[in-house]
Amino acid sequence: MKLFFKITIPIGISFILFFSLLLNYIIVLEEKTISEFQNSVRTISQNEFENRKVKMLNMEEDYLDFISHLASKISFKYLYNYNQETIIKPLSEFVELKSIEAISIFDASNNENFITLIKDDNGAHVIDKLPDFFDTYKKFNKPIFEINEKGETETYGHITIYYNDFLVERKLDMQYKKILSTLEKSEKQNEQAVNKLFKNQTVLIFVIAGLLSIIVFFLIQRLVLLPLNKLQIGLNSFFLFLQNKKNSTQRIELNTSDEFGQMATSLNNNIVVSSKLHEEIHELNVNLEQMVEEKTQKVTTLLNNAGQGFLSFDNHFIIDEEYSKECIGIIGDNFVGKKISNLMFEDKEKQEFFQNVLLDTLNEDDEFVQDSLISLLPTSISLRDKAIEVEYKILEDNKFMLILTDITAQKILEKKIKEEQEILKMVVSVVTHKEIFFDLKNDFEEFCNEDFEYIDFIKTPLNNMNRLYRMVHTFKGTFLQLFMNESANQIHKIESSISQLIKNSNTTNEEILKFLKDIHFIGCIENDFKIIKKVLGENFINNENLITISKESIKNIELKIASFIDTQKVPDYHSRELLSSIQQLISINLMHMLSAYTKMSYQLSHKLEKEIYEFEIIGDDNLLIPESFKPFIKSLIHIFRNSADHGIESSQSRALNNKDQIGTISCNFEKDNNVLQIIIADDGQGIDTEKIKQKLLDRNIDVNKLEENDFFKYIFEDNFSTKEEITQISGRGVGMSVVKNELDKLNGSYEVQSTVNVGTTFIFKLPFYD
Amino acid sequence: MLNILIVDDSTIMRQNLKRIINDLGHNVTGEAASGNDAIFLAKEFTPDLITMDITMPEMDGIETTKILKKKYPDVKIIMTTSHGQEDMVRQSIKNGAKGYILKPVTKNKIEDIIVKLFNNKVKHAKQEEITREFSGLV
Repeated sequence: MKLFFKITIPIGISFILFFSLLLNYIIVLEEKTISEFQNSVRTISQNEFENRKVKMLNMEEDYLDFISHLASKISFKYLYNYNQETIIKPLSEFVELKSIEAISIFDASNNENFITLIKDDNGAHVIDKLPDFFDTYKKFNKPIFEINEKGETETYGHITIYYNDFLVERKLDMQYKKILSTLEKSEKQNEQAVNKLFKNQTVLIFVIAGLLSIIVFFLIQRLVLLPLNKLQIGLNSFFLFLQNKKNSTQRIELNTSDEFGQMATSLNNNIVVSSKLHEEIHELNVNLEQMVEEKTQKVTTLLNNAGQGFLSFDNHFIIDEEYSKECIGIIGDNFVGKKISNLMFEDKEKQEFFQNVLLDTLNEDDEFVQDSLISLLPTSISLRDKAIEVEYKILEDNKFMLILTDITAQKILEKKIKEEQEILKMVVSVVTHKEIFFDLKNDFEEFCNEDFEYIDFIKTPLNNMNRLYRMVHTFKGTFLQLFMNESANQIHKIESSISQLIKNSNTTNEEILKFLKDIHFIGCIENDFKIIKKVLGENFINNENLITISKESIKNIELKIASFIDTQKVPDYHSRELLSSIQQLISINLMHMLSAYTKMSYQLSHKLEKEIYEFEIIGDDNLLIPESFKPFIKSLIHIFRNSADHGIESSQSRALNNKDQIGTISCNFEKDNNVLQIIIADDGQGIDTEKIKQKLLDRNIDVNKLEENDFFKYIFEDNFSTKEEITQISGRGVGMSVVKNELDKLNGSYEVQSTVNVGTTFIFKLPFYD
Repeated sequence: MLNILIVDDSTIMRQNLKRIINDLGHNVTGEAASGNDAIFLAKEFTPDLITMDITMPEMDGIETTKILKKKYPDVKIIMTTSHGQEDMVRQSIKNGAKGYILKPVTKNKIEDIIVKLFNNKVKHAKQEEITREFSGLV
C-alpha cells in the first residue's frame, strides 16, 4: 500500500495541478474575449446613438424650419390684413406643437410686435412680451413675404419660433440610457453564463483528473502492486520456511511476461533449489542434533562413570548445577551453590590464595602465564579423610572446572608398597652389607650392655654428653645407611633429647646416667630386627660369620620383588635395583656387583646435596669372580661412599675452586696376567695429608720419617678418620679398615694417588688365577 | 639462540644456570647478583629472557621484576623459586613475570620453559596461517 500512496498521490496531484493551470488559462482567455466583445458593442452602440442623435436633431430643425415656414405663410394673410384676433387660433395650433415654446410675429411695416403666443397648460395664450430666459432658446426666424406680380418679394414682417431642443436631447438620452441598461443586462447575463461555464469546466477537470488517477491507480495496482504483493507473499512464505516456521514453501503465482514475471520465475527456480537444499540441511541438522544429543548423553554417562568428579564454578567460586556423580562421593551432598574454596580448604589463607590465583588467571591473556599461575595451586588435597587429586581448567565466561580424582586407595596402596619396599630395601641392604650390619649390631648391643661405662665421671658432663651425642648420632647414621629406618627414627628421638640435655648447662654426670638408664635402647631396634629375623630366619642373625640363607628365602625375596615390578605400571627402578642385588647373591658377576655402587653413589651425593654425573662401571661384562672375592668387592662400598661423602665437595666450594660444579666418580676394572685391577677415582678435594699428619702427631708418631705415600696407609687403619665432624654416612671410619682387611685376606695390594683439589684414585690389585 | 640474563644472589646458582643455559645452546648475556645489577645489565644487553631469583637481599625478585617490566615491557621474566613461595610467585606474575622454575633448577626444566615461552609463538603463528588457508579454501 505504501507504494500505492507513493505513486498514485503524486500522479493525482500533478494531474490536478496541470488541469487547474489549463482551466485558469482558458478562463483568462474567455474573459478577455468577452470583455473585448462587450467593449466593441458599447462603442458601436454609442457611435450609432451619436449619429442618430445628430440625425434626429437635424430632422427636428428641418421639421421646425418647415413649421416656421408654414407658419410664416399662414401668418402673411393675417399680417397683411392686420387681423390680430383671427391669427391667434391657427397660431396656437403651432404653439401647441411639440418642442415649440413660443411664437412671435414681428410687423415690419409698423415696426412693432404683431403678436406673441406662449405655450401653457391649456394650449397657448397671447403675451405682450416674452420672458427674458427665452433668449437662451433656440429660434427660427422666417420672413413673412409675398411675391408680387412682378415676381418681386415683398416682406411684411417675420415670424420667430422659439423651440426647446433639449427635450429631444433628453429623449435621446433616455433612449441611450435604455440601450445602455440593456447592454449591461446582457453583459451580466454573459458573465453569469461564463461563471456557469467556469464551474462546469472545474467540475469537468476534477472529474477527468480523478478518472485519470483512478486509471493510473488501477494500472499500478494491476501491473506493480499486485505482482509485488505476490512476490512478497511468496518470499515471506519462503523465508518462514527457511526459519523452520513453516513446513513447506509455495511457488510465486505470477505468470506475466513482464519484468515481475521474469523475476518471479527466477525466484521460483531459486526457491525450489534453496528449499531442497534447506530440507537437506534441516535433515542434516536434525541428524546432527540427534548425534549431539546422543554424544552429550554418552559424554555425561562417560563423565558419570569416569571415576572422576567434574564440576564447574564461577568467578565468585559458587559451584554450578552441572557436575558428575563422582563429586557426591568426593565432596558430599548439597554442594551446588556453595563456595568451592571453603569446601576445599579449611585454612583461610589457603582459601584466599586459591581465589586470588584463579582471579589472577582471568586477567591474563597469556596461556603460559595462566598455566604458571594454575600450577601454583595444590594438585592434591585431603577432603573428608580422602586423598583427592585436583586438576584445574579455565573455562569460557569466567568459569573454572575442577577434575577431582579420589586417589585414597592408590595412596594407601602406594604407602603399603613403600613400606614393603622399605622392608625389602632394609633386608637386602642387611644381606648385602652383612659386615656393616653385624658390626653395627655388635656395636649397638655393646653400647646397650656396657652399663654406660663410657660415661667418664672424671670428665665434665658436657664432654660426656658430646661424646654420647656423637655415638648416638653415628648409630643413627649407620642404621639409616642400612635402611633400618624404624630403628633410626627411634634413635633420632634419643638424639633429640640428648641435645636438649646439652642445652641445659646444669646437667650433672649422675643425671646423665639416670637419663640413660631410663631409656630402653634395645627396644629401638627390636622392630627392625624382628622383621629381618622373619624374612631371613633366626640363623642369619645368630651366625655372624657363617651365612646360611636358604636358597628358598632368597628365591622368595626375589619373587616378591618381581611381583612388585609386575603390579606397577610405571617402571620401578628401586625394585629392579633390589632384584639385581638379590640376584647377585646367587651368581657372582663382577660387573653386576660393582654396578650396584653407581646408583648408590649417585643417590648418596644427592642426599648430601651434592651433584655428580651419573657413571657406569667400565670393564668386562662377563667376568665372573670366585666366591672368595665377594667380601672384598662388597667392602668397596666404603670407597664409593667416601668418595661421595669426603671426596666430592659441595657444588659451592667446587665452584669457588673453578671446578665443574658436578663431580665425577668413576670405576673400572681389568683382568690382566692373573691380576685383577680395580680402579676407583673421584675428582674431589683429595686427601689432606696435613690433617693426617696432625692426627699422627696426636698419636706421637714421627711424621718426618714418613713419605708422602705412606700417609695414605693410615686411612685404612681402624678408627682413623680425618673428618672432624662425624657424619651419618661415613660412620666412624670403620669402612676403610674393612677394605684393608678383606684385601689382605686375598693377598691383594693397593695404591692411593691423591692431590688436593684434584682428586683421589684408589687402585686395588688382586691375584686372580683362572 | 636467546640472550638470557641471570639474576641470583648465589654464585653457585648463577654458575649452575649459566652452564645449563650454555648447554642448551643459548647465550648468557649477563649475570646479576642483585636487583640493581639486573636493572643495569638489562639496559646494557636487552635480553630476551631473564631468570630471576625470587629472594634476594635489598631488592627482592618481585620488586626487580616490577621495575624491569615497567622499563622493558617486552622482556620475559621467569622466577626461580623454592617450595612454599607460591604466594610470592603469584605476586611476581602479577608484576609481569611469565612463570617460574622450582629449584633445583635442571636442564629439563629450563628447556621446557624456553620451548613453551618462545616456540609457542611460532606454533601460534603457524596455526593462524593454517586457519587462514583453510578458511580461504572454504
